[in-house]
Amino acid sequence: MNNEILLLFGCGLLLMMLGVYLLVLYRNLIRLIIGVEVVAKGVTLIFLAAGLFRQDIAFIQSLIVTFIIVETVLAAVMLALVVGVHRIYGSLDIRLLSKLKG
Amino acid sequence: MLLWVLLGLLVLLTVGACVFRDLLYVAVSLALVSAVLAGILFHYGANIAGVFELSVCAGLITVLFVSTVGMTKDSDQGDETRMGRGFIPLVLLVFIGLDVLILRWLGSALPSIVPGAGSGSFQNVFWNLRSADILGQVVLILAGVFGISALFRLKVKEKKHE
Amino acid sequence: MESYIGWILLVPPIAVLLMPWASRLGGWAANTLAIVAAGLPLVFTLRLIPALGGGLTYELFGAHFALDSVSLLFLVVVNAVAFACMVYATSYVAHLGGRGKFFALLLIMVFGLNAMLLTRDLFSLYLFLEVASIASYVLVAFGLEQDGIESAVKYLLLSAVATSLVLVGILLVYMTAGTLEFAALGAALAGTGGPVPGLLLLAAALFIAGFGLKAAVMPFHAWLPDAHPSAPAPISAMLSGVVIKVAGIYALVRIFFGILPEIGEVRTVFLILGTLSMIAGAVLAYFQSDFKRMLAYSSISQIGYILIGLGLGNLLGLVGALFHVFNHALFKSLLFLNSGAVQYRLGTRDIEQMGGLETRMPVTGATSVFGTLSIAGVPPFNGFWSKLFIIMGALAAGQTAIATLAILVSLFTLGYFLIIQRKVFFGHLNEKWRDIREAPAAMSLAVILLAAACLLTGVFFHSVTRGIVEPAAVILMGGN
Repeated sequence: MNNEILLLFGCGLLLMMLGVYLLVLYRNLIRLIIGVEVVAKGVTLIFLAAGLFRQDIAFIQSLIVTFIIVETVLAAVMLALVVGVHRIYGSLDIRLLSKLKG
Repeated sequence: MLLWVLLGLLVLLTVGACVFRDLLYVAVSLALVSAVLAGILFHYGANIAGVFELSVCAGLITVLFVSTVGMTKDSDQGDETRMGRGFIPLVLLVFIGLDVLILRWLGSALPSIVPGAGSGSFQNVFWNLRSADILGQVVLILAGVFGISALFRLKVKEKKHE
Repeated sequence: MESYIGWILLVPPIAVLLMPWASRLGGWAANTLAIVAAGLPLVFTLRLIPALGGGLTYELFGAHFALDSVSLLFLVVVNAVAFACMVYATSYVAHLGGRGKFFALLLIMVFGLNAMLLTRDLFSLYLFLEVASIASYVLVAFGLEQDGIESAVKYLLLSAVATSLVLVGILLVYMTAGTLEFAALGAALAGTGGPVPGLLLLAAALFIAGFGLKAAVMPFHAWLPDAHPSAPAPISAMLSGVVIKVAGIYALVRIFFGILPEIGEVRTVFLILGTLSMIAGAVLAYFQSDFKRMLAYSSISQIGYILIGLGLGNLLGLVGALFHVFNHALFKSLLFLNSGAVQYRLGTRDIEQMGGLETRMPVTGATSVFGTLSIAGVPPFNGFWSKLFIIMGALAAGQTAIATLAILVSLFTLGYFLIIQRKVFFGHLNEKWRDIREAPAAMSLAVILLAAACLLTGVFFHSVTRGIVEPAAVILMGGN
């Protein structure tokens, strides 16, 4: 059992790292949001690993459901901001956004 | 065995979300990541969380992504990267190596526990033990509704200027 | 009395639900509703001060909330500043449009912060933090102008990563202890005398990085100098005055002085990060020519003072840190509201173009002087006492170097704020601004309230520290 938990935890960490890498790698805003979503998937896996470790699936399910709602509202707000950026610049390239450059 | 397959698929699809050039493919692979994740949740008996993951993340969020991609289609999709895609396999290997190191440490650091009695059914936890979270969720959704309507009032504002 | 806790939580969301209807009735109805909804929690909070005793608990729909001196101190700060910002916003929001939506989002932010302070569960703390944050992302972009939206995106992306780190930290704590309630966690994790388990050390590192980013502590500060200036003025005041304190400092205080067992290195980390933020924030503030950006960098510097006070580990340092939280909220929101009033009338934030505005905007000019003297730590204003406590705490802890640096940075702060003050409000009036008038009445009223609060807490610092700061510091010492 412990090995499975470690596997889930590790996979979650890997997804989080890949998500952060996406944030660094790309210059397109939608892709940056995908990065945030990938991080969130990784966190969900770690949630599951923690729940399995404490052998309390009912408790962790409740947290995961709440987390999914947070993730969804966050994604919706991010995408609305992206549409706002697009209306102003006509592009989603963050090099136009002087504050996100670099 | 099933777990290995599911996790392998999960990582593969995530890498797909990193490398595809077409944003629609990226959105679809993210949806599939969610679907596989839901499968993993089902596998461990977290059925309700699985249903949420499947319907909300794989469904609703994907719809939002695809419609945003559609609304911003006329723009440069800017799939340019800072360091080129060629590095992705290398980066993946580095990450996996790092991960293995962390896991080896974690395996030794995990405390040995006496599992508690558990919290009973999901309904009990969700409605009774964690009712503060329900209040939070309700206000969070309100924040989303007011937030998005505030961000989309741009059209109204522009008209006023004309 | 306990039911006040419930009302503090419920009044803002109820007002949010009524807001669309009120704004259809007209601007006056939305204004009234917003001011009542921001004012009532303040009244309830102040009424709770004498009734607190050893702490109160309250059950709302089966959810447990509790109030102790630490929460109460922060509640006073949140609701006082929120009330002033709301009064100010009633006339400021006119040029932004979307009045009802603005008030609703501001009230949601206040709800999130209040709930963060009253909850006694680690995951709920995260959830309410997320509620307040989502409202603040939208509010930063509320002007729908390019730098607002840009900064909101930057703020959001960095925050999303930070909160993910915090969540992993929370899960590590859960794996170790099997619970997320503060009291049960404190008991489960209470030091057995042996070394702190590795999982908890990792969690501590994640919490410092995650909440440190929310508090804009130095290596994690990149978003603040963009997000705070680009937001509408009442939101800048809320973000700099309150949000970084509650989302960052309060969370750190709760976790490291009560939940996690004592980790000696954490104090050292606080001292190092605090000193770094204090110095670098002040130096960077000196080089800004944008009024609000300068204020934003100075917030980083003042957060540094607070962290130093927390890291000293003696009662004097903690009293100083918590009192500085209180004071900084008052004078920084005052200064941000004043800069907003100037921008509202002049349409620019560039300091070089200003000058002599004192004759045209006497209230704004005079209250700015109050804010400047407070932030620079000139007696008898409130900033003097809290900085004095922190410096005395540093001397008592044997940190002479940090105490010296704190005094020097304080003098430096006085210097650059006086330069700003002279460039903006004194000197020769630029011909362009001959017809500028004082800011509208509601905006002036809000800054007068805050300026009076700065002076009064300075003059009566003894009652304030005795009444609400010291009990909080004692709790933190005990929990340590």
